[in-house]
Amino acid sequence: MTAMAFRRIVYVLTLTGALLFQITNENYLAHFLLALCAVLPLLSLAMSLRGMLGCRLALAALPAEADRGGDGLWQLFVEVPGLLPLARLTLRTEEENLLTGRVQRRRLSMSGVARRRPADLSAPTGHCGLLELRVDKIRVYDYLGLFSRRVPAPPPARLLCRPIPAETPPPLLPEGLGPSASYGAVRRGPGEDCDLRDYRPGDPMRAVHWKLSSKWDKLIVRERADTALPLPLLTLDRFGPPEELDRLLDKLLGLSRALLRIQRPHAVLWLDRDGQPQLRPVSDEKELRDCLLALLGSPAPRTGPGLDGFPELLQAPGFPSFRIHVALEEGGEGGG
Amino acid sequence: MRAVADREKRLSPLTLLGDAALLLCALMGLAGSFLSLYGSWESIAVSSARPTPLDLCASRTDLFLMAAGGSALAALCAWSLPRFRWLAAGGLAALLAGTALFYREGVVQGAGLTLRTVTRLFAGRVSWGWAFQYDPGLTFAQEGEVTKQFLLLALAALALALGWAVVRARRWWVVLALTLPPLLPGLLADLYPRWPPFMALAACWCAMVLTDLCKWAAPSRRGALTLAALPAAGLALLAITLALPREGYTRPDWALRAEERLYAAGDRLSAFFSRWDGPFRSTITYMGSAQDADLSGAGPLRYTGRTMLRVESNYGGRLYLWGSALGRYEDGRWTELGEDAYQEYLDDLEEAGLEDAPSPLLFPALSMEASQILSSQLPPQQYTVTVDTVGTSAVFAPYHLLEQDWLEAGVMPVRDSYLAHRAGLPRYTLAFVPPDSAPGRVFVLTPQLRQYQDYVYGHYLDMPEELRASVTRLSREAAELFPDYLGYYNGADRFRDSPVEAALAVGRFLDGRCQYDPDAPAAPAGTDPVLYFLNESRRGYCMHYASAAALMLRALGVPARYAQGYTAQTQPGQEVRVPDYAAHAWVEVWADGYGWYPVEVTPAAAFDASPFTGGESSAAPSTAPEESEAPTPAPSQEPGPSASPSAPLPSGEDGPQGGGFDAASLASAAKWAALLAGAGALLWLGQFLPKRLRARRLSGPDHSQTALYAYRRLLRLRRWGGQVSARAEKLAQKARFSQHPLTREEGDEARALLEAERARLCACLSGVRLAAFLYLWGRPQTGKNAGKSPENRP
Repeated sequence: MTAMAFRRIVYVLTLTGALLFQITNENYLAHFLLALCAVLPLLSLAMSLRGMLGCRLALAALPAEADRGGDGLWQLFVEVPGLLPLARLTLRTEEENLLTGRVQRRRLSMSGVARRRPADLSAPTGHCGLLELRVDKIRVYDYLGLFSRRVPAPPPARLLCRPIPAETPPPLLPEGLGPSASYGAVRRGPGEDCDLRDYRPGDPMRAVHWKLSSKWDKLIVRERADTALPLPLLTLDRFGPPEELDRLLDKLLGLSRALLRIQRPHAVLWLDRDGQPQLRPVSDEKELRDCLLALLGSPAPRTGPGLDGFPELLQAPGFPSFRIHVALEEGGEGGG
Repeated sequence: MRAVADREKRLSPLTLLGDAALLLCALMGLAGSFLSLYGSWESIAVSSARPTPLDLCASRTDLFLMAAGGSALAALCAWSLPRFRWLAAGGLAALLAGTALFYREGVVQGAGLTLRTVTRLFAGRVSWGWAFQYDPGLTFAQEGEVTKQFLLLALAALALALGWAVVRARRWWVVLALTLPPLLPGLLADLYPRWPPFMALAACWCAMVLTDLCKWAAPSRRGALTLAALPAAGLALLAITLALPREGYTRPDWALRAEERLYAAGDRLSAFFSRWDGPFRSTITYMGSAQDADLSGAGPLRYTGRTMLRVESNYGGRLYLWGSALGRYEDGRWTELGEDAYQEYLDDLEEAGLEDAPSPLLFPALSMEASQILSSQLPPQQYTVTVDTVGTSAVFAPYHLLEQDWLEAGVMPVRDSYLAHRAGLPRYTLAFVPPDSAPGRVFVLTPQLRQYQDYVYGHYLDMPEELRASVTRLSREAAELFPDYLGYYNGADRFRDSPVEAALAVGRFLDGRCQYDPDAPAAPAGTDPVLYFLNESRRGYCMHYASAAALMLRALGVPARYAQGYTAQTQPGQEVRVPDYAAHAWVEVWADGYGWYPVEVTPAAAFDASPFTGGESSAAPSTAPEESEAPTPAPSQEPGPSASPSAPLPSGEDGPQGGGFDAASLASAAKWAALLAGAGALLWLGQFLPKRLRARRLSGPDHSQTALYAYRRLLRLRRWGGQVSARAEKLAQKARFSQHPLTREEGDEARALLEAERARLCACLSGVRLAAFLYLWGRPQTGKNAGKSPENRP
């Protein structure tokens, strides 16, 4: 039995007692007591009505990102108009790890909530994933705890629980992809970097550099630099129990960071729950974060097909050609 | 670090202010209520002829209020200290203990005197037999002084405990447990304290209840809430007091009806269980009791007005419905003679071969032989009465019962004292001869009547020896007051032959000697109630009059007993209700050859009083002996000069019910309610209607009109300090002069500009202007949907 139900029962018993007292007693005091019992809830409602009607909630994560196992906090902001505190606020929280699908529900109640006073809730950062906090069944009560009102739920808050990057040396890359190789910036438009070479049968006519061809008297074609140099491709099979996923993601993040340290843009490839390939280029920390958001923000099944089951995908034209498969066991696969 | 945080938490000015207000209300309210409850002369005068020490204290109420205020502030300071608060409170407690030890004799005496005053008052008001007996042997002034010392110390100690309850524990029930018990005896004894201090105390209770959920909130918020709840509770209490004034209060009619239904439901439940005999029982059981009458505990009369009986008869007139006749008086209590004594009578009957003799209860109601004799002379008309025992388990029957089929009737005579009804059958019908049809003198001494007469003279003349001398002396005085009887006094047979005259004479004697008072207090412990009534208080009601008359008649040699029951004014074919205030007691005297004869000895003047104030039924039988030369069994037929047999009885239809508000209080309550409701409705309409109008015009389908209206509203906002932006003006110009209507986006933009300006003004204004602005203009919309038309909102 909740505290509010208990209060309602106590009030009903009190009112019944006052009623019986009035019925069986002829004194004015019994009459006064009954009137007071009837008026007191109305007084309580009148005092707390403003807070009950104007109460608004907001959610935030503090910080927005946290390492796995680190300190993550949800902050619940309650906006109460006026000077008087809110008597009581009850709600149900639902924390979901979008990667593992684990959902944790809690019931919370707060008394004497003052204006804009955040309430801190610890976030479950035990496993990697994008954590989402939702609250529902929000009710505010009057000062006697007899009347309640439902408050609209605020938008959910999200917290990225990052993997802890494993200490990994940069992978050995083949000639041309090693530290000395230079990749042009991947650009589009007038300022893009292009290489020039002789025409080979099959080249599109659009690629012909007509000005130079007329000058050099041979067909010269333009070729974009990013397609010219193969990108390292980190692949992983994104399924398994949460503990294994944690280690896998740690390793992936370690490799990615190692590549970034040597200024090697790369791409990450995985299959989502529906078997659709997800390819994310990573050339800096921002793109790495976007990649992590995509990687951790969708559910990972317990089991699923690995990328090895889709060789045609890896050999498709336009895909990065050097593949490093991230797996729990040591070793990767290279390709050219 | 924690200590610093705690100190910051505790020293919030609002918290201190709120706690101080609560403590002051609690202590000053308690002090004022206590002194006015027990120390006012009006309340003490009921049970005591001289003032008490608390009266002296009540005359120094200002001193106690100052002491209460000082104690409250000291306790607040001690308990609000950030550190060492227990040390400070302990120091104060030690100081109090030292003071009490230093003045220990006076404090103990003051405590005893306070307890004595309170318990005496309580015992006198609620017929409680015990009162604290204490006599320190001081003069009255000294008694007042030591009582004052004790009360001041008690107040200081209570302040310390209350300080903990308010400042530290913050538990409303602890405050209630500390402040209510001192007032409880007085409140239970129907006394009322002075209303303002009592309301202050009640406001403190209400504020504690209202802030209970927020007791662990941020201190400043809790203090603000306390400071808001306390005056709000005070205003609510004031409103209740004004709407339901105490003056002229009578219990609402619905409460009377509800009580009646409640008891009826209880009786039905009881009847259901009593009717269920179980699988192994087949015998018929009868229920009922003689219902002893305890005079020693008989304090002021208190009635609730609930229905005790429902009576339906084909007879119209006043009926005395007797419930039991009690013949033994011991220790201030009337009880039945009992089984052993009655067994002697049964044995005598058996020896005389009269085992089948009818019950003695039928003797005055025309035993079979007498009825046969009478039928040849004047056949009496028989009537029936149906009684539904709504609120009692006893059987009440009219006098002059005819012999009937007891099994059919559902009742059974028990000895010569009362009737018992069949279990599970609370409604019964009895046949009787009404008073106006009853014969006059019946001297039919049947064999069984002779046997019973011997039994009566053997047992219904007994009297406690300690009362005999005093009662005999008074009965002689009663006889001496009436010269008619002087010549007959020396012959005891005169009274035996004229028992009714003797009873009426005693009644007149009591009328002259004593005063009818429904609020007569109970006799002090250790004194006989009848002697106390006759010699000391000389105030009483029907129980005292009937008891005294029965004993005095016995002293005159007339067998008499105490009878109790109800009076009812019946109307043919109609069911009337008999409320509890129709309860009555009278005396029965033995008339040779006839049987028990009821005589009213309570002064008729008593019946003028309202039933709710303790007056008894106006169904007084005659106290005029000159009209009843012969003992007729119709006392109510012979109204005395002051009796009012035609006066309306409290009945279900036309009697005073004591219910509902009187017209003044009802009109007052209605006036206040109407005023409040009207003001509230006007306030609400003044905000709601313009708000609806604005919303409708701003969300209309014509966006040009929306923009124009928003512009006009912006112009109106200038008187509050608002500004009209160039964009709003441009939109308005376009809406007014362009050939093309404004788009939805432009309408939304105009609306958003208006909302933004309202929000800006809300942030700039403060105080009364802000409140007026919010009332007239409403709260501006905020958030991403502000300014969007409804169809654009998600």
